[in-house]
Amino acid sequence: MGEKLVELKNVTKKYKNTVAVNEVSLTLEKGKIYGLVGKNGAGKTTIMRMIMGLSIPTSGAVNVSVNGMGTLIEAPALNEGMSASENIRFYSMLSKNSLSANSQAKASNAGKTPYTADQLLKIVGLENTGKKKVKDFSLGMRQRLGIAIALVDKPDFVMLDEPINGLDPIGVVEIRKLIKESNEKENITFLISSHNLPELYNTATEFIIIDNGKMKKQISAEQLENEKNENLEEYFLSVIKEV
Amino acid sequence: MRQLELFKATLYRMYKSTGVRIAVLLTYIAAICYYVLATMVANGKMGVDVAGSITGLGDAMIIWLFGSLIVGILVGGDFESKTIHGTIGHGRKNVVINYVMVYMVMMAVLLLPYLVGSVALIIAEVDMTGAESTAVSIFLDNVLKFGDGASIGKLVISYISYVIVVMGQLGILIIVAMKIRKAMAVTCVGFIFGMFTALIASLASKVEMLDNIYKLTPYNYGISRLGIEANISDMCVGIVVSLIFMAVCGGIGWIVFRKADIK
Repeated sequence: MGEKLVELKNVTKKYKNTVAVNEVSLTLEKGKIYGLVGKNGAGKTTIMRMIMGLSIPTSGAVNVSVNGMGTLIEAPALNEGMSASENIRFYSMLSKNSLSANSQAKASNAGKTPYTADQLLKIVGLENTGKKKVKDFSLGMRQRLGIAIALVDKPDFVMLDEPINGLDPIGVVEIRKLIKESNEKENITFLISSHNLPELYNTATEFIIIDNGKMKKQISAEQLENEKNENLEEYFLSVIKEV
Repeated sequence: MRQLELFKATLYRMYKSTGVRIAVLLTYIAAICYYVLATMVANGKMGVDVAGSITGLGDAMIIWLFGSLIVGILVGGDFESKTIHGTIGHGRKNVVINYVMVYMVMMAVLLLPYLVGSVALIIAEVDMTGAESTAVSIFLDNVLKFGDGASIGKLVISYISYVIVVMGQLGILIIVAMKIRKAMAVTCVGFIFGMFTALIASLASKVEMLDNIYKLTPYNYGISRLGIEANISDMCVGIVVSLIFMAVCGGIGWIVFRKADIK
């Protein structure tokens, strides 16, 4: 078993009379790419928000032990009046040894050299945006910048909530490549949510399938390859229908 | 160290904010206009009948308008733009402490032109006699009352105590901002609250318990307690009361925020 970065123990989150997450337990280990798959409203974002510390569980425990966490939850968190490089500068100022609100402090960030703003902008294809303010960015450009910001300081752990929303097909391919490369070269662990299993099929190494706030299955890419039939979507539907 | 990183990043965000830049610019223009017009009243170039309009440019009114806007951008803007997602990793308590620290810096920035104007008029020995009705705070009042035998040290303490008391008075907006988290709403609440602060004293005086509470707040400290002719002990008590009041506001802000869900 690899190094534990995130552990959820019997976590439940209720909003008034709605149970968004119900008794979920899971462990995320270093070096993997986790695909968090579920229908709209299944509880994917709520789980991510609790890991990040934006939301407090109604019961259960969330333990996070990482050197830096990059996130893109729902919409990119951007300063509208700043340019792309200024936004990166802002997050660089924040991110030194930045940890999740739930995390326990660890040793300093293992000698990784952070990306420069220019490197990051080039990686996500925004190197020619100059002084253009974020408020004038398209949806895809905002999404790309959100992903760049998540990678500032090369954190241990990155959570991306439906990251390819708003991206054109070339952008989708580029972001998938970026995730894989960051995982392989920088040993960054990813948790990526999607409502579409095929979308994550070629990227994730582990899949966590949830429905109606409950965890239905955690399966590795190899196991999925063996268990699935011809159609991934049918497999996904069969898993969430299991009692 | 993490608190310092958060502080520097937030100052950078405020520095880059168009809303903050406009608020600071307009405050500086208002301060210049205030002193120029007050001097013209003192010189007899303008009638005393316009004093009411001139006081609208004084710090007492402007700080509630633009101070509220700044608090709104500082706290509400953080939630509205979701940049709180980047700061929450530093811990919720540190986020609230950071808001209070940056708030204090920004209030000092807003009051700076009024302070500079006041000091400049004293150094230049400009006779402001006749402009008494335009004095809305200790800034112009100190110019009017700073005589030959006055102590520079007492003047400095007077200025410091006033700046901290103003910070304390607007500190209540930290709680409002932590609760409603919308920049424009905080601005509106702050400005309306500012207009009613004078009424708070008269309302409080009618109920003994409220009056006792009121005396423990920065709203109880005006020109008579902080100006150059006041006792230094009153000024020092004003500083202590205001610092405690700000700490209480920050504490309540943290209680409001510590288990709240962030969108």
